[in-house]
Amino acid sequence: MALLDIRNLSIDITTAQGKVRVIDKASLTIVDGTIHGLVGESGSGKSIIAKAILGLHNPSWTVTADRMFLGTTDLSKLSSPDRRKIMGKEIAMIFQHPRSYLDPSRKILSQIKEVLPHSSVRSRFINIVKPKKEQSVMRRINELLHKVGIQNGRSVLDSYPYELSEGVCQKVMIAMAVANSPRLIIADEPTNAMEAVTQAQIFRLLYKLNQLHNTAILLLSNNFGSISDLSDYITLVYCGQTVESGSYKQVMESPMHPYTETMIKTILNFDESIDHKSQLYTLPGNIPSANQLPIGCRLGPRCPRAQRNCVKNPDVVNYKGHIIRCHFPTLDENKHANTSQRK
Amino acid sequence: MLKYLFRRLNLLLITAFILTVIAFMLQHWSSSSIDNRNYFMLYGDYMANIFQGHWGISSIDQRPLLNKGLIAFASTLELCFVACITSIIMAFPLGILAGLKRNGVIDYAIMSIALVGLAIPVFWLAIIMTMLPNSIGISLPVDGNISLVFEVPVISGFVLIDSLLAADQYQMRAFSDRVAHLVLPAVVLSFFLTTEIIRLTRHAITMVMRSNYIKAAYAKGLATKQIVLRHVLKNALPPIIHQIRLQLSTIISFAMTIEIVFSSGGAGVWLLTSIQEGDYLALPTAVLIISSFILLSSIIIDIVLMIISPTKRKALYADQ
Amino acid sequence: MRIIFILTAALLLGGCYQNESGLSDTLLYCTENSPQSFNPQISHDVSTLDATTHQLYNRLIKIDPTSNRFIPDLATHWQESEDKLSYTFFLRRNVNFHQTDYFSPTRYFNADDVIFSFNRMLNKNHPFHSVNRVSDTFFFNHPFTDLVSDIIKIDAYTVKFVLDSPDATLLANLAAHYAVIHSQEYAHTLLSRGHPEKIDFYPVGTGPYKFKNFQSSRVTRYLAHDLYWGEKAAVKNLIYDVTANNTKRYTKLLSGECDVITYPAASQLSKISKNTDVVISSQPTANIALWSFNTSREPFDQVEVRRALSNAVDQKTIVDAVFFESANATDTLLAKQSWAFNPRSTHIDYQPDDSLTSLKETDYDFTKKLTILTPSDNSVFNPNFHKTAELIQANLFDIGIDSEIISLSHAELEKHLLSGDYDTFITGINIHINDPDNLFRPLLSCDSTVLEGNSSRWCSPQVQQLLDSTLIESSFIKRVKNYYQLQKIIQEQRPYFPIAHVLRMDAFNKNISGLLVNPLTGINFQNVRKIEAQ
Repeated sequence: MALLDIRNLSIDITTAQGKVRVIDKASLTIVDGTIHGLVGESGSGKSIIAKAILGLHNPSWTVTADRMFLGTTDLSKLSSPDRRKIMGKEIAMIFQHPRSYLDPSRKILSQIKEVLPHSSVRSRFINIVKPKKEQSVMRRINELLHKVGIQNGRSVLDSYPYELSEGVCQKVMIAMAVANSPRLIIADEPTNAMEAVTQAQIFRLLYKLNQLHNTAILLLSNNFGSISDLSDYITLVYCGQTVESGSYKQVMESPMHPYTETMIKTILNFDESIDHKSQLYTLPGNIPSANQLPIGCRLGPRCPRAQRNCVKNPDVVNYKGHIIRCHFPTLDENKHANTSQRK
Repeated sequence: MLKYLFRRLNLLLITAFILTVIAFMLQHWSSSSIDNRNYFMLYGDYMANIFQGHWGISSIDQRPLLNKGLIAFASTLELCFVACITSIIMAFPLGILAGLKRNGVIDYAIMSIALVGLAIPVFWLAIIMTMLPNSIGISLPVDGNISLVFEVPVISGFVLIDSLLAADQYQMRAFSDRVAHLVLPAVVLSFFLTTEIIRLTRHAITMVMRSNYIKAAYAKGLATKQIVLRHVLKNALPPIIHQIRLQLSTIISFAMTIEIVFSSGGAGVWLLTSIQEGDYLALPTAVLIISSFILLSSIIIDIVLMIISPTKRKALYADQ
Repeated sequence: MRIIFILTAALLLGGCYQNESGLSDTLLYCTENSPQSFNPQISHDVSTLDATTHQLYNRLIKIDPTSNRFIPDLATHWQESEDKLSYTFFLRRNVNFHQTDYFSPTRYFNADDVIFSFNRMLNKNHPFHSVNRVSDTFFFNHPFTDLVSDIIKIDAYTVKFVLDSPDATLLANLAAHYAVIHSQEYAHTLLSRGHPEKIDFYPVGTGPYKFKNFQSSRVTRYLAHDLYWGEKAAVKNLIYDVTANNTKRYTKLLSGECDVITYPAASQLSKISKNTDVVISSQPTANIALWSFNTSREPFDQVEVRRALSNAVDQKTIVDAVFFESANATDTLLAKQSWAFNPRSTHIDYQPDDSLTSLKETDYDFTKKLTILTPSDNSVFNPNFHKTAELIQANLFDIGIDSEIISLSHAELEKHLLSGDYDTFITGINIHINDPDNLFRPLLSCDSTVLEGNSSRWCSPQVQQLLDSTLIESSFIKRVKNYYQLQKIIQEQRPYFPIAHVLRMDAFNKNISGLLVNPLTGINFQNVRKIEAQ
């Protein structure tokens, strides 16, 4: 059952050069309880999509979508108080460079307390009357910290963010994210600022949360390698367009989009023998800048299979859950038979 | 923490030393004594006198300059203090409002008022305020510290306090008279302070609102009001206080100008009359008094900043 | 929301503030300068007179403001001797001196005090003669020392003044501002303590107010003298507040920080007169603003040149532009209200064409630059010397004379005057004694030096003879006749160009009554009453 269903999300930004369509008819479907990887290079727009889901985007941007549903709630039609209800409670988000996302002037304890459902004025007032609650709050917090794998909980709670390492900060953010048992956690490149050991820890933690609590995770990443063993589903984004989407097995074993093929080729496989100082595989060219976006399929100028047809926006084709947007996909003979076109 | 304090104290001493040298030179050139010893010995004598409290005698009325200077300066401080409080109360909410609703109608309205404060010269506004209230029918005193009818003895130097202490003689009339005398000069000074604080607050709030942890707070599902109260204010305060500390000397010089227009017995009037009547020894005294006040308050503000802003404690972390 | 709260608090506080004008036992008087001393014997500036003459002291006789006759003050009656060489005064009894923090009198006023007060001026060997001495002469051009040869004590309450030669002006002099009576007991106490100079700064007199304190040259406080021999002052506290800026004085009058002010800004007089809460009192004084010609220098020794130049100046414009409404344009040296005023003097009008023709006839050298000397600071008889000079310069330019304004401060000015290095000089004169001799002598007497007032360096035997003979003339009619003749000569000779007779202006709240201003002797608060504001 689709937890998050986004169809044809488009975001327009008004720049000095005019209106720029940074996200062009992106579609994303997240199944309940799965880990969904959203892969794209830096600047491909995946963070924008994530922010648009939560409504954290700049209010001057125009966000249009055919569908933007969380379960049965239409996200685009939410009023501010309603939106605030789902943020942090149904959807939670963790960020890159976690230390900068924590308030530098307050200790960790007070920041975690803020997320807990007890932090409304009324319940604080009741707390004065019934102070026993304080104990249970502390117990809860310690539970959370233990859950995310922070060893010395008490000293962490007593510290300021600048005194902790990025890894610990990220664990704290994850703790704050799962405090209310959300249905979906959006993780925006959570491990970019860390060394490999901590990265592995974080990913293991996310995996554990997913397995134990059935929390869906939308994992944004800019390299294939980090999400490869983790994700159940993968969506690739190039330049604001979602180019291919499908289950992990579908995408990895039979990629159809030329971009996906390229991405897979870039995964370093240390089994093969690579010549000393040989060039690694890339697509020729660069990502187009925002004021020079190509018409139609944006991979056009760099695509090895590009032809004149590519100036038209390709339609979305769904091969049994493996969704592709390309004029010239690599087709398997089996798939040919059961196609259903989806626009 | 102690090491930081020690470092600041070092800076204070060096600055104080330079200031005493300047004061010494002023005093040497304005006094007509024909002392032929070399400058080091003269400076040593001067510093010895300073530490013993002999700061010189005024040539106008033969009273010790230190006393005169401190009393005059206390009056200036009173004015600054009252103006600071009123302007903080007025400016903070306006600045926060402008910062939150950036580029909106309210923001432009508030900033226009703030810009006016940047453009108007202090003395002009002061002179206008001596005449304006009368022309619209409000009768407020425009001259002096306190009405000449009340002879309030100088106990602490702060007329507000002294007039309260003289309550047995004048009941509350002296105090309310002193407050009335403070109204117009404080209005003028707080006009400029308010515009300054509005601009600083708006800028600080805007900067804080753009930072990541505020976005995280939104993502946590907090309402704007909660975010402002809990996160924004505490983080916006340090840059504001820091800027005010830099403006401290400007505030004092504005206060002195306003005092000259309103003829209240503060440092501005004292210095002006001293120079006009040839009592040049008042200059080095004033240099020492005012600059030591500014130094001390700088350090106190630094310490306060360190206490309220944890990030300043570790100046090494340049994360943001 | 908080803003509204603060504003309401401030407004309420404003209501708490009680206007000082509301207090009926205190009078605040704002003046321009602080007094130079508290003894009008040695200081003649207007501020000293305002501060002291009527408030702190009494004189032997005074002048009735309405009838202009001499009436008793500390002397109850007096007699003139047959040969007019001596006057005997009978003194009032049971008059108390001031009791202050620094002096308690042990006896009433008597003849010793009179003798002390005048001998201080007469007798060069008097222990107080050179105390606080400001200048060589005690007053301008009518030395009391030449007038009186001796003062004899007949008994404790009788004093006789012996004159060198018959002099009609003795009474006028005894009623003048400087003829105040000090306490001899106080003087001796000070002498024995070793501080004789305090007599002029911590004064003791017999007047309706006594000295309380003098603060930082800005504030002087007086208390009503509760043992005063005459009608006691209705206002208990009298405070003198020095505010140099005349616009500020007026603002303070409006805001209630002053009850009475002196010399409001001339340019604001019309606006002030429109204010119905304020009363303006203007008193004509004999003080006069002048333009003097240096008659010792060519070509100003020629009367035709002087008359021609007088024709060239537009007096009305000067009076309007410089004095506004604070002075009356005048063509004569003597003020109209003087008893010796000659109503039939010749007028000189503003006729620039006539001036030009006359000057050409006298072969006036138009190529030479005419110097106009002015003081750099302003004075009671001219609020703006420089503007006056500029206007005259413009008038002269119209008839083709190039002129140069030299504006100097006190020391430099004196040097120039003494050396005679000037063509013309913008000046004026303050009159302190109600006698025409007091005006003419400094301006016209051969004995009068430049610094004493004779800036035109005028010396004519005919005029001198008139001056001296009238001084000793006792017949009133003869004196008038002499002065008429004097004025006729001077009007024709024109050593001076009179600009305006200055008015003394005071402004006060309409709840003040009984204020008397005497232009010669200063302001008088003795009978002032203040009606409490509603």
